[in-house]
Amino acid sequence: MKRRDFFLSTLTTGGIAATSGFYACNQHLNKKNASSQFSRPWWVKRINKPLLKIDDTLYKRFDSKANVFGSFIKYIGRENFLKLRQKSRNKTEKFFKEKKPGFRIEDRALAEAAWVLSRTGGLDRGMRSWNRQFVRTPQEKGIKRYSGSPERAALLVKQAARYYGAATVGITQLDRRHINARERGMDIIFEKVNEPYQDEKEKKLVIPDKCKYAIALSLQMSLDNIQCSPSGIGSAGSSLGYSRAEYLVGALAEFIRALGYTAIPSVNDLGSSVAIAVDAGLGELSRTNRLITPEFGPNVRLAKVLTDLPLKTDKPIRFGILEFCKVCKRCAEQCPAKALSFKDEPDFEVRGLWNNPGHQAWFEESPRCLSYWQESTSGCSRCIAVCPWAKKDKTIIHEIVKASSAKIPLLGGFFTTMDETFGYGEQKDPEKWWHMNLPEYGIDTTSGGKG
Amino acid sequence: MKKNNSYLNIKIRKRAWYIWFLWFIWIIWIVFWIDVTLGSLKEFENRAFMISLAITIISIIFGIILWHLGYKKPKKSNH
Repeated sequence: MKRRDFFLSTLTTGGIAATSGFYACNQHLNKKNASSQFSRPWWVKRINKPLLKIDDTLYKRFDSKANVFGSFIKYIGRENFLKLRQKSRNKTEKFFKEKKPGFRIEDRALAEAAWVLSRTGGLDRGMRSWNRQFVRTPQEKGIKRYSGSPERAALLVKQAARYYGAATVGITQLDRRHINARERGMDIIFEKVNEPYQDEKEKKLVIPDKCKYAIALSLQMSLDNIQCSPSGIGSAGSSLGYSRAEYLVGALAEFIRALGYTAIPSVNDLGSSVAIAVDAGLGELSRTNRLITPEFGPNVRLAKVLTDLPLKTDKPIRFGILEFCKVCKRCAEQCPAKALSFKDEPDFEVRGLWNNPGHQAWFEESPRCLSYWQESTSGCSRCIAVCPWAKKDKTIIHEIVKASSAKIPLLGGFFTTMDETFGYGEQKDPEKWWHMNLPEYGIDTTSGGKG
Repeated sequence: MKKNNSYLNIKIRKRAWYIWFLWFIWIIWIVFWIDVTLGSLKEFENRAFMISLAITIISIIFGIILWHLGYKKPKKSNH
């Protein structure tokens, strides 16, 4: 080849490479600016139905009074409850006198104060009000309500949710069976009405029939806090999560109302956030009978908003959690209350009235869990802290482990052993937390996908 | 290179072909463990940091030794 030919062919090849590179980058940026900004890690697969089965003949709407918070005394007995309360008081006093790290006045103050916003809300109360709070509706402004496509509406809602503090967002058609049948002594019913309302006289909470969509939201909790669990610092991780959830659902509901549609915000009230999140593809149900997300593992709080705004829905996902949880069992082993199931396979067998029957799961002994919360004097999140999926993303190894677990379930056992060997999930020193260089809200908002 | 009065004896030491392949794998391995070490430090995971640091150091030392052992022995000359 002559030198001239060589240069000519090099230039031509380079030109083609540069043009195609530019085109590819442009395509990528355009895609990134559109719907794919909410894409999930590559090892997450979209599926048509959640992996764990529902028995349609058994699965019904749940009476929230039967949950462990509503009937704790009934489940453990009044005498045991009083003993437990006294034990908790004595222990609190003892820890206070000993100035035990994690249980000192400052540690407890941190946790209690972090509840501040959450305590202002409740079912149809405060930020979680079912009706408009401050925004002016399009009708009041004398304009037409929003009328974009469901795809565009989903994009707007997801982006707004992220802006208000969501880690990941998913949308699903509302399965009404996930909504509680009763709450706060009132029936929750669906009616052909325009706006949701509460009827104190008839003791009913009415959801408009037209609210056919559920927006599932996850919020990161501070893993640095959760890893100090059980302690006041650990507890602060959950309580701040709840307060942020309060703001998130309140703001998102107001955003939807300002577009001219109905929105019902909810955190742990109203229905099962876990079931809705599974349907909306935020994650998979795990051994703890709670959600594990691909991005943050179980280290999330969940919330939801019901709406009539037509939205493009998402599909459930699978990324190997079912197989992983079958072999890992670390949460069950490390649970101080021994409240979690050791069964190899998830089944339909509930452990008590606190579980809603009719769906396949690893059901938990909730009263034992809540009893331990009293015993520890400041709650517990050990099952979250020890989960091999609860990781920060400062090193590529976590991504490799997650991707490999998702694609090769056989490796689950090996990864669990390695996780333990490397010391992940060990309780951190609450005193050290006070000296950390913390990011805002204690979370790294750049980690994980956008969901 | 050894100076021997008026002659220069040049010793050519050839590496086996697979050494370059191993060298490439070794570089990736080292970069990976450095990433894990620094990441663990950022994540305040003390034990993970110590283990990954140890693996990195051992891998570097092992790699250097292997690199120096990886020469083909020169064929014996009949002269």
